[in-house]
Order: sequence, then structure tokens, then C-alpha cells
Amino acid sequence: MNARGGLRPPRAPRAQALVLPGLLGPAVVFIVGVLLTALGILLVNSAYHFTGTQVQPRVTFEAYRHFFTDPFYASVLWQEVRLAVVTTGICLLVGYPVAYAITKIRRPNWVIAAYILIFSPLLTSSIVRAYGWLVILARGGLVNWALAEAHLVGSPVRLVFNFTGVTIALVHVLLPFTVFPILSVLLRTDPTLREAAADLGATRLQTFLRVTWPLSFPGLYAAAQLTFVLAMNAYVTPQLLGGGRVQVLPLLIFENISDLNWPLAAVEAIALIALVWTTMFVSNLLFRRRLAAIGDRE
Amino acid sequence: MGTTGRAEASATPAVELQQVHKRFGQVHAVRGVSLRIRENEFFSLLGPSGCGKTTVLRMISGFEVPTEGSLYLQGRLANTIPPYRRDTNLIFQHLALFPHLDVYDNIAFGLRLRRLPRDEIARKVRASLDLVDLAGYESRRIHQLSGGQKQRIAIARALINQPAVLLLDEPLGALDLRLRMQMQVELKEIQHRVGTTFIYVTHDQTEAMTMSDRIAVMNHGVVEQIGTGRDVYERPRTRFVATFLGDSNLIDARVERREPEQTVLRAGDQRLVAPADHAAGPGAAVTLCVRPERLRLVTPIDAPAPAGYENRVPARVHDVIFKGAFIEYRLTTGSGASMIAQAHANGSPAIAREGAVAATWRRDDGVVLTE
Amino acid sequence: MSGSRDPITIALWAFLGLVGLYMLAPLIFVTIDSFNPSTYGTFPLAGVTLHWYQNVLQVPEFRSGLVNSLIVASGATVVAVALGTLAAYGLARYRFRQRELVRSFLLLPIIVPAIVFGAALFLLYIRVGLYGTRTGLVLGHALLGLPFVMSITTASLQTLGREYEEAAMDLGANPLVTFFKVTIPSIRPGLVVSALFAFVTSWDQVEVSLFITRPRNNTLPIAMFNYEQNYQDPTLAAISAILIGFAVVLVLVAVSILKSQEYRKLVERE
Repeated sequence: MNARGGLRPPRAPRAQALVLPGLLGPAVVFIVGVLLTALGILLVNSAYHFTGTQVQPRVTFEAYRHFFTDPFYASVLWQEVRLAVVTTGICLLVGYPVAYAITKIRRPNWVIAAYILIFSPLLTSSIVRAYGWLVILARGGLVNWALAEAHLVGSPVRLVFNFTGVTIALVHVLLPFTVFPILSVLLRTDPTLREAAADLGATRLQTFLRVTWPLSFPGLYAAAQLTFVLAMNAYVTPQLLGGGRVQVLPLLIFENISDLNWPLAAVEAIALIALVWTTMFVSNLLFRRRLAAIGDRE
Repeated sequence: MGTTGRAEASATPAVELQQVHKRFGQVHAVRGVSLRIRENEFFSLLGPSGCGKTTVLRMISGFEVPTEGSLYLQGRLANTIPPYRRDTNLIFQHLALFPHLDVYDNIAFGLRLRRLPRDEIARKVRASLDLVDLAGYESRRIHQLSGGQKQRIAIARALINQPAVLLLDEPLGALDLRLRMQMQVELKEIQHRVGTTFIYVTHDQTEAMTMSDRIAVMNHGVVEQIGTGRDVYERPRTRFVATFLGDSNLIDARVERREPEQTVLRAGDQRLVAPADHAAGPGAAVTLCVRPERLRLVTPIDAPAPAGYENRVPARVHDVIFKGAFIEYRLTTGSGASMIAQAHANGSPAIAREGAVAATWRRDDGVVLTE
Repeated sequence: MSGSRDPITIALWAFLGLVGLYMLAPLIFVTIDSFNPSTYGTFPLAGVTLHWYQNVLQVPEFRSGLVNSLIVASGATVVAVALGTLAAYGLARYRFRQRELVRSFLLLPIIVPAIVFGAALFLLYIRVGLYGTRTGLVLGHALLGLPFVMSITTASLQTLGREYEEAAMDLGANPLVTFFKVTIPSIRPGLVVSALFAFVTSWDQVEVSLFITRPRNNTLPIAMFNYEQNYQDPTLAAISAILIGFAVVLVLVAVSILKSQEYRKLVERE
């Protein structure tokens, strides 16, 4: 259905049934041939044996055993989830008011300015942004200088190469991804609904709590999921700003591949995917009713 | 089929549908439609939204393939011929003028595909712009045009290809009333000048009656009646046609007896006379349809009716509505039914509310509907 | 027009401004730092120097990285746009039972974590000899850009509707002619945006490139990443500032397109 409504896609008649595979085929074959094959090889490798210097195609599953028994990995998983949850929480707390503020801008030039402010950092690579935070948060950097000038601290505060630094920088990277779904939903909300609430006697606060906020929930939910997933998958920011103290799965994956311990890397990769999908699945179940209720009203 | 005086039944119709069906999954959008549209005819498909008229049009233009039945264009079976190989052109509901091309390129689009020489194309484009009264508009961009101008460019773009059949899908819907009426007249003129068969889809009965040689009234995928505007209005075949075109008074009645020249009906305790051109026998339940403008109200209630006005129903005036050129009376009959009567506002005093009247009409003013 | 200037809205806008500063902060300060005479990037600046910019030009990895990135990003964009547009046309214009399944399938490259994708690609490339090659990079980056191209183009096609294509066919154009003379020109803004997305995705790509590049064939982000592991001087700030400069130009171009007559005309269809 297009924006004009009335026009449907035709059923693929016989002649056109030959065209469709030609259109979709290349992309599908490309993904199957490269992505799926690669993932398959990864999966197979996860079961192999690592001698300490090379991989042998012997099925032993010892990487799995190692992963699930060594308490180090439990702490890694904990670190991983902690980082993702904290980052997502901050992003939501900051992102929602930002999105709401943008919807209230009337002049189109200011709207464009707001979009530029929030979304243009996406045009630079994560390395540039991470390095930027290094500069700002370092011992001799901007923040510490400002704090010292204001006589708020006696000695430089440790803001990089730890969990705090990673969080600050990761929030910066992910905030646009949080704002976007929330903003989309807020913009799509029928403004006459708010007017109706006011007409029926609701104050601005009540209108927000009873109309705007509930209707924006799907956007918030999508933003939370997206941010969480991206935080879990983050590599560059924890690597450059963690100083080795923030050990998350993506770092280990790279490390193990570099060390030629492919089975272990593969297991960690599978664990990462499993962790992310389980979280999404569980949260979808938990919130299914609330999301469906809003969907009906659209 | 409707009544016509022309003896062209043997000429090849421009478009013919024979028992055409179209299903979309579970939806049976077109059910057994048969039509024969003549060359040079202005033919309308009239009906409410969802009646299937647009689907029929899209099958004729080639964007839908009939599920069952046969479609003939100029006598050739055309069910599966793709749109770019049919000698038809469609004016889309939202016109579909290419925004990335100017007026000249839009109009020349079809000709360029046929690789006509450049100067011939230029000549034809100029001529077609003259035809629609927009000479000199060649380099305008589409977004610079008004609604009426876009309309005419769409027509020019289609007609320049000299199709055997021009199809129009509710093209005037987006225009305001005045412009719409003006365009109706212009379209009719263009059709006369060019002589192409026009098939016009609309839900507006006034529009259909104004422009068409013949109308097919559709409802729920079925053609209920085909005929000239006058046929369809004055002698509707079904309740739907009677109520879709104009207002009607519908009276439920039973056939008491049939006579050679008339039918005697009984409605409640009333005896009414109606024409005999229907198939219902004695005892059958029918609907008598009388148009509001055919009713003559006489007051007081026992005053004599004009000569020939045999039917008489006592009623009370419930409401009087002044509608400019005529006055509409809403009546409540003795048995509690509602009727509408229409009288010319010719200056004579209107009947007051609560007035007691007799609604009268001639035998041949009524139509007996069996469906 | 300016009816909503109540205190809450003002507060929200102030918050927006603060967050805006937060978003620009690293970019601004990296640029400032690129002029920093001190090797350890201490703040505030003791002076201004262009030494680090000169250094950028002298680091061979940055030069080759730039060239590689340009070639790879261009190639990846072409592949992603070509395959993605075809697939989008199939999804938007045809109705078939597995449509949602295929659409989800084509999103796979961004559903899989980039780091996992990179590791897997490494294992595959080692086997087929694509490791460290530009072709390998182009394929990998194209895969990452494909879902964006597909989503944006499908949305463009659905919003556009089939009326123009039907009009073209009605006027005698067969499907192929219709596609190139009407469909493609009509979705040009969407195509440009998706090409941009594909290009930027490849240009800034780190996690996947990390696994499939070889020192001779590094892309620019990887060259920067490696440099950061070894040196921490503001040369990195200088190259970052240059890249930020490109991004600024890109933003200005995008804004001018948005405000241009042509775009507005294409968007203001009734």
C-alpha cells in the first residue's frame, strides 16, 4: 500500500514469476555465499581443537567447556551486560527529552540544525570519536583542566581507561541510534490526540503522562533494543578507552583470533549472539501485550 | 441491455466483456460482468466505492488480468496482453504526470517510445496542447501547474497516442465543483472532436448523466443496469439503481391483479396503479418507485387531483426545505411511511408544515421494481 | 507559530543545546588538539602548530590507507546500490508469500554483530584466498551496506507508488524501459541517500576491516587504529580533523540538497 492507498502490488503472473528471482537472486546469493558460509565456518571451528599454536580440525568442544567453566568468562559476561545496561539507561534518559525537544521546534532551519547536532557525528568513524574522548577525558585534558581551574578537585580524576570513560564515549556513539526511533514515533503521533486530551480537561503534564508517553512507548522500546544490541556489539570504544580494564566479549573475540585460538573466538562469538538474541526474545515476550495494545490504536 | 434506437448491434464493439470475473484472494471484486461498448461512445461505469468499476477499468487497460471470462478489444481477445501493447490509454485518478519531466516531455513520452521523427513529435505536441487549450506550456514543470491544467496535460498525454479507447479513472475528483463542471463540458467536447471511445469511471451520478451516452450502474461487482442516463434514471431496474441515482420514494406493495395496460397494486390499505412492463404476477411482492419530482401535492387533503393523477396517498407535511430552484417536502403518510416530494419554486406559496395533503402521481410515473 | 514558549519547552531546548555540545565536543576538541604543540595533548594549548598535519602527509600508512578506503568504499557502494536496488524493487513491487521472510533475510548483515561478522569473514577469506585483498574488503563492506540500501529504496518505492510506472507502461514502455526512464529518476533522492549510507558505512568501517586487512592493504580507519596502539601524539588528531572536515563538507552538501528547488519539487507531489 502506498501513501495514496488504492494501489496493490499485483499477484506475480506466470511471466513475471521469472523476473522476481532475477531481482532478488543476486542479493540473496551474495548473502548466502559470503555471510552464511562464513558463519558456517565459524560455527564449525568452534568445535575444533587448539593446540596452543594452531587449530586442528578435530571435534572436541573443549573451547565450549573452557568458556563455560572458567570463571573469567562469567566476569566478562557480567562486564558486558553491565556496560550495555548502563549505556542504554543513560541513552534513554538523555535521548527521550532530546527527541521530545526536537518535536517542539517550529522553525525548519532550527530543526535542520538539531538534526545536524545529533546525527552528524555518525559521519565520522568510531575511531575519530573515541580519540576525541581520549583528548577530552585524559589526565591533562579538557575536563580535568576545567575541574582544576574551578578548584573542584585536588588531583586529576581518572576518566579514561576505565568503565566510566568507556561509558561516556559509548553513550556518545549510540545516542543518535536512541534518538531516531523515539523521534520517529513522536513525529508520527497524531497531534489532534493531544488537542483532544486538552479539550477534555487534561493539563499539559496530564496530557503527556496519559497520551504522549504511552503512545511513544513503541519508539522507546525500539530505541532501547537497538541501543542495547549496539552496546553489546561494541568493539572500538571499549578497546580504545578501556585501557584493558573493560573486558567485553568483542575484545576477546579479536584477541583470540589474533592469537590463532579460533575455536575459543568462535565460542565467544556464538555466546555474544546468543546473549543478544535471548535478551531480545525475553524482552519481546515481556512487553508483547503492552506493545500490541498501542499498535491497535494506531 | 438498455434501450437504444441505433441499429449497430452488428458492428464490432470497441470493448467487450463476456462474463468477466476478478478475484483477489478471497475478495470477489467483479462478478460475471458483461458489457458491449460501442465505437465513439462515451460510456460510464457508475457505482459506489468498492463496486468493482475501477477493477473493470484496470482490466480493460491491462493492469489486472481477468480471473475468468473474456475481454475483447476491437474484437481481439485481450485478457493477457500487457498494457504497453494495448491500443488503450488510461487517465489515472491522480494523473501520474512524471514529475521529473516537463510538460513537453510528458506529452511526448509515448511518441518517443515509438521513435517518431523529432519534428513530427514537435508538431503533434503543439497540436495536442492546442486541443486542450494550453498552447505555449511546453517547458513548464508539472509542479507549476494548477489542478485543472494538470488534468488537461494528462488528457493531452494520453490522446496524442490516438488510442482506440481512452479510459478515465475518476479524473475530476480532486477539482472543486465549479472547475469540475467546466471540465465535464470540456471532456465531452474533446470526445466529440476526437471521436475516440471514452470509458469513464465515477461515483458521481450527476457527472455520469451529464457526460455519457450510456451508463452501466455497478454494485458489489455486478452490473445492475445499462442504459442511457434517462433510461437508468426514469426506468430503474432494481432498488439499488433507483436509490443510487437521485432520490426515490419506494413503496412496498403486492400485485393484486394484472391488466393489459396496467398493474393494480395494494400497499397496506391503498390501491395503486402502475405500468405493466414487468414480469411480476398476482400475489408477488414488489417495490413501487416514484421520483419526488413526479409527485403533485394537493391541498386540502380531499381536494381533486389533476387529470390523470390516479394515485393518491394522504399525508402530512413533516418538513419544508427550500433548495433554491425547488422546494422539497418531507411527508409522513397515513400509515407512517416517509415520502419526499419536489416542486419547482415558481413563486406560488409553499405548503406549510403540518399541512394535510394528498400526494398524487400518474400511473406511468411509477416504476415497478422486482429486485 | 511561537506559541509554545513556556518554561518547560525552554528547559527542554536548553537540554537539547547541552546535549548538542556533548555531541560536538569530541569533534571540536580533536580539531583543537590537532594544533597542539604538546605531544601528550595537554590542555590548554600552549601555542599553535601545523607540525602534526605535516606528519600526516609523511606517514605512508595514512596515504595508502586513504587510497584504499576510497577505492573500497566506491566499489562497495556500487555493489550495494546495484544489488540492493534490484532487491528493493522485487520487494516493493511484487506480492509473494515469502516477502517478509526475504526482507528479514536481507537485513542479516546488520543483525549479526560486526565483530562476529569480521571474525567469520576472516575464517572464510583465509580459506578462499581473499584475506588482505581489496576485493575481500569490497565484498565485506558491500554486504554491510546492502540492508541500508534495501530499506531506504524499498521505502522510497512504496511511497512513490506504482502510478508512474503504470502510466509509462500505458504509454507503451515495456518494464525495462519503464524501470530506467521512470522508476530510477523518480527515486533519485532515495538512491542518493542510500548510496551515501553505503559509502559512509564502508568509509568508517572498523570492526570488520580489522579482521580482513593486511598491513599493506589497510583502510584508513585501520591505519589510524594501528597508529593509536603505538603512538599517542596528535598526528591522529590531525588526520581526524581532516576527516571531520570531509564530514562537514558532506553535511553542507546534504543541507543544500535538502533546501534545493529540485528536491523540494520532487517531494511536493500532491
